[in-house]
Amino acid sequence: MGTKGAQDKAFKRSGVGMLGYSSTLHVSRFMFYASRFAFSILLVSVFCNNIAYSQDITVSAEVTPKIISLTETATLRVKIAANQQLGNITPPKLKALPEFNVFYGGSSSQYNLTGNQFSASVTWTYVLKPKKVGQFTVSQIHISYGNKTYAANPVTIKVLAKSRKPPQSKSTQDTFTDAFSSSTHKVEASVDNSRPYVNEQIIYTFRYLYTVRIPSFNAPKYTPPSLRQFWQTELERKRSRRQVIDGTLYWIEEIQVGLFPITAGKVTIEPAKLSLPTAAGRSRLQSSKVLVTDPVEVNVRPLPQKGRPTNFASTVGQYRIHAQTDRQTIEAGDGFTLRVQVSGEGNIKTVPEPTISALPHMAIYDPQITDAIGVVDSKVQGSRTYEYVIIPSKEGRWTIPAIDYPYFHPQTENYQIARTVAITINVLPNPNAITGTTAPHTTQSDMHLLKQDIRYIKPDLLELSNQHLYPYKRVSFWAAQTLPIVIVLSVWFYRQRQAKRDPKQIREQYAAKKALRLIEYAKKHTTNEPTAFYGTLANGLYQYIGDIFDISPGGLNPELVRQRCKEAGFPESATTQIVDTLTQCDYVRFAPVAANPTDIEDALNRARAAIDEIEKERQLKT
Amino acid sequence: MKGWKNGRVADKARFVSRFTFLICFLCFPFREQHAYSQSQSTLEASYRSADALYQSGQYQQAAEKYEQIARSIQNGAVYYNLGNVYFRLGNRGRAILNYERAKRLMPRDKDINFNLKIAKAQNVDPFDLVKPLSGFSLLYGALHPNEIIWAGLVPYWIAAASLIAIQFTQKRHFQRTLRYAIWIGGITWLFSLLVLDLKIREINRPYSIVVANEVMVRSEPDLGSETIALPLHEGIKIQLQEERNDWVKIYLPDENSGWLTADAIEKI
Repeated sequence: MGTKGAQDKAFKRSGVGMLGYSSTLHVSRFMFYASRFAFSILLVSVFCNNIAYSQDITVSAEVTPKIISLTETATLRVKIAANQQLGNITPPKLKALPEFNVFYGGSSSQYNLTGNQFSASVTWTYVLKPKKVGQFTVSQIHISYGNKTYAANPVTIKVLAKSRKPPQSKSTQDTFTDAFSSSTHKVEASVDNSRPYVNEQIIYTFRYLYTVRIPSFNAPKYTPPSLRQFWQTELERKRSRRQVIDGTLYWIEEIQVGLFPITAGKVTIEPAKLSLPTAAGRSRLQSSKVLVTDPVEVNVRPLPQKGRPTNFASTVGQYRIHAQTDRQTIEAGDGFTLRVQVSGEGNIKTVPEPTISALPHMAIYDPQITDAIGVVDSKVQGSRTYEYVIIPSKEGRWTIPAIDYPYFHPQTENYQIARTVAITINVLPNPNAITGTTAPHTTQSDMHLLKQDIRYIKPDLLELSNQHLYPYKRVSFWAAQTLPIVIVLSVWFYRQRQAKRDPKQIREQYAAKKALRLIEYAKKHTTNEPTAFYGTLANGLYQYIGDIFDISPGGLNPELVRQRCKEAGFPESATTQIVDTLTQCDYVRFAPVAANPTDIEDALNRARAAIDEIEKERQLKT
Repeated sequence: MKGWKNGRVADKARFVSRFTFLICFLCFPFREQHAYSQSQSTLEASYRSADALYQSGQYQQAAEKYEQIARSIQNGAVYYNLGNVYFRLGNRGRAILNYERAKRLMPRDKDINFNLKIAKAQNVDPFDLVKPLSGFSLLYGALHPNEIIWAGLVPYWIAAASLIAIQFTQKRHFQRTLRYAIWIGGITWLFSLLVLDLKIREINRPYSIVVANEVMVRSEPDLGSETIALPLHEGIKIQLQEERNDWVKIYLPDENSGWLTADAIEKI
């Protein structure tokens, strides 16, 4: 890969690496040409005392990869980060690096607002191409901002004579020239490492190069090869780029897949295909052109036997392991969580569970597993976390020993071991632990009740009555519920029957009562007015006789009354008394004379006595 | 001399007297004495002697006496005292059983509720395995069925009396008052019957208390079947679902059920 390639790589990183948060992206191709100028203005700066370290502003430097060969390039990133808005910043000043050719790769800024926390950063990218072998330190990178100068951490690059990089697979291109649009289309497939170890990641790249797009609404259709012999991970899509190859400017589209070989041996990746669309406006009969790549051969190497740890379990990559507990002190019988995290670069999905040696007096339950997998610089990496719940049964100081996690490092081609630190747990005796079958869940209020005694028995003072629970089993209940209905109904029937009775009978029945009521009324209210009194009295008596014989009282006179009474066989005395009284009444009413109170009293008594006598007689008859 | 007044209008008078008799008859049954297997005085004498036995600490004999009385009559005080005796004897299951029986007869008695709470606090299982009651239980939970009946009967009789009176009066505003009395009394009466029905349903619920020290809950009425829940302990209140031979089916949480041997429980 030449200088051009290095530039392209830097280009890619500055853009793609910041994907996600970057709101603005200043990458200028012309800056490549300016890089020579930037190199010329690199200053040999003297370490000054006025270099300020602010809590708000941090400057850092990073170089990737740290180990390169003479034919490769490394990328240096200088980053200024602040929790405030950054104003105009002059690019950092690099000390002259005589061991490298330095190319400026552009800058990118990033803003981030989480909650009310604001952060901003600017990153400058430089591509370093080594001139000689050795280990070099890039130090004294300074950025002036405001009135202060900030220094970045020094970074070290190791340059090897020979590339450690495994040979890339050769790729040939399938070419098609479209005469209509006079465009050239090529496809090629390659892997970045044709001799990987089992379970080491390789990158399969399908590349489509073209000079001009075929004028069609349809996009070219990609058919990926079958990749059954591998674990696959989709890698992030690269942006299209342009490149001059053999004097022709091509557009390049790339599709990359991360592959982890499952078994050792020779594996052939079948050709990938790309169907080009037919240009618009051309004969539909003409079939679309299909470009086919060559098959790619991968020679998967088995993991070496030499130096293989006994507890090794096919972990390939570069890993770290970290263990921690959520508590250091705990009561016996209570649980705590042991969190073991395996993180690194490699096929995270297949990493085996770390082996925790048996712990005395502790029950370990099956872990809960969480994965966090991502892709950085086309490398699959991430972490897998195992959360174990552990319940110590006995008090004391117990140690969870260090956990070994062996793995094979494909770059160094040897076995390495990641290891956690031992954790000591202080288990206290549990005051609440109760052994045995009975373990009441007593609450505070229950405890209070447990201390109290029951209340005393009920004395024999009260009457020993039977407190029935089932009222519906008793007659009195049904009596009390139904009798009112019976009574109401009987009263109603009685009233109905009464209303239906013969009016003559009713008249006869109430005759005496009505007459006496009138007489009483006469006595009470009209004794001072003789005329009115005798009138009422006469009315009462005529009414009485009329009621008894069921005739109108209006047509009656004393003579008629005498005749009726005689016919009915009423006592002679009573008949005489009534007739006399009526005659007296008529006499007083029609020939007014001053009435004598004794006369009035006498008339009243006579009327009452007569009615009494007649009633007795009538009752005898019935 | 006034004889005729009792004559012609006699049927009305007869009616009134009959009515009065009925009212008296109605009231009387609630004070009726019950047919005891023992006479009232014998019962009271045994009650007193049982109390004396309790006071002297002879709980076993006191228990026998109280049990004897409880077989004759249903009385909250007897069950309460019996509960106390069993509590003193260390038989918590039967103590709770008798407190529960006493509580049904005297729902608002403070002593009963207090002792029941104390006995239950010593339970191993801190819960009851019973189906929750309806919201109406708030209304009748603390009432004896007789109290519900009286609460309905009084307005009912007032309504009935008003219904009679309204047939004899001509006065408009009096009629209106009577009409209100009829409606309110009638509705109260019907409502009381509804509440009484709910109360009796609650009383008839087959609640039981585990009297055995520990009993296994099994999936089938068979000693060989598997146990499906934690064992139940003395004093826990359960609700029966079904009874079969020597087994009872009980409600478990989440619509589940299990079988217990019938001798391990006692119905309230």
